[in-house]
Amino acid sequence: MSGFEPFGQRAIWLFLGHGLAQTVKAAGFSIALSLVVGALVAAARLSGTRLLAWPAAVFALAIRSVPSYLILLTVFFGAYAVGVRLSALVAIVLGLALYHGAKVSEIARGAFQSVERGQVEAARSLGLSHGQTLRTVVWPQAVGRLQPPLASECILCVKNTSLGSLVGLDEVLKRGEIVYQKYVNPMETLMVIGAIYWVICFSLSLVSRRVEGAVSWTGE
Amino acid sequence: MIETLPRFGYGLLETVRLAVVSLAGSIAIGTCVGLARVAPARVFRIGALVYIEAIRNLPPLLLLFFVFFALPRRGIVLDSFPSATLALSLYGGAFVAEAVRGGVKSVNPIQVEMARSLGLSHLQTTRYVVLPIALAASLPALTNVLIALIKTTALAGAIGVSELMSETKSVQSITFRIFAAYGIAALGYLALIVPLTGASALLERRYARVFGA
Repeated sequence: MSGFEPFGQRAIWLFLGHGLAQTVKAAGFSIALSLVVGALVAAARLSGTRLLAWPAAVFALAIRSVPSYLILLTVFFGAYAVGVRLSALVAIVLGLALYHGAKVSEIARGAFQSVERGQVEAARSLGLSHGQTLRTVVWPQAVGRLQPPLASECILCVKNTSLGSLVGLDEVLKRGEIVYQKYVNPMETLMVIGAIYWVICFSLSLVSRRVEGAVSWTGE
Repeated sequence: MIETLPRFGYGLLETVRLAVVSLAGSIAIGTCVGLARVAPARVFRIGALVYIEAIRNLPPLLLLFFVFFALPRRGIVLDSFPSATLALSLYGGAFVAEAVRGGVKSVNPIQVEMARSLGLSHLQTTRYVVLPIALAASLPALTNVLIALIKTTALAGAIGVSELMSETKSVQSITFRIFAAYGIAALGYLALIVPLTGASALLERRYARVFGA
């Protein structure tokens, strides 16, 4: 078990901790921004206006159908090509926000459309506008169904920040690589890094289950 | 740019090959784990749960690095392609296991009782009654796993597989045609994934009609 020996040093943990901070920062910004992107795209798709709904649908399908890594590299090198210099952190946040934003829009659309059509028709025939129906009839029922898939998407986003290590973001997996290249202990180091990711993602899913209970209690 | 097109074609083929082989591996692992997840013996259930929860909360890139860089230190030396296959199969296996478990749950318990009362053993019932129904029911979910696997193959370039993404990166670094290179790669992925997305939706609707779920 000598491969774990370097992890007795405080310095190694500080070194990894700095990477972890970058991971958390990238994940936090990406998730926040992807919720904004997802909400906007979903709003466009549900707007009832073809001119908005069609481009939004094509955008969501196209983005969801390519790897997140491709989007990340397109943002990273594409910005460079048009003369904008993005830091690795900004590039990964923008790339992941686009990718997960498209998936969030799909989740939101699914949750909204899962509300029975008859209720929408009833609300419309009672004289509520399209917007009023969405706000007062559909939204309160959809919000409970949004939460579990959104939580899985957040976990995917945290895992995807590891792509940052491929474009030079100094996050926790990259720092792990540096550690095992120095101490020649890839197995032990990757186990430690894996444990770090695991703790973050698993606690997110625990929080989500808690919230799920709370939301469905008051919501549905 | 035209003269680089064969490289995209080669990369696309490699992506398809990796995705298909990994799907087979995922189904093999996932079926065993998924059945273990609903097995009568508690040891199997807990073991399967640990596997699923462990894999689902790890980045696939870390699994690729683990298989390619860490396993050789324990004497297991695999080439790039087999390493990627193993890592992606382990990753996909966790998702297939969940799909299979969902499928098994959708089997009507009366059908199981009938099989048992006709004299089939637990294993026979699983093999001839539960599994065929469960796999058919999990077909839409399996299509989604294939879609996710195709997208995840893009990371295999990091351990030296010449799939579409890594070919694209090298074309881009030679020609400096960034948008053209990534545009062509995107078309390749769209050509694979959009039909699968359609198929998944179709299967889901058909399943809903047949099973009334």
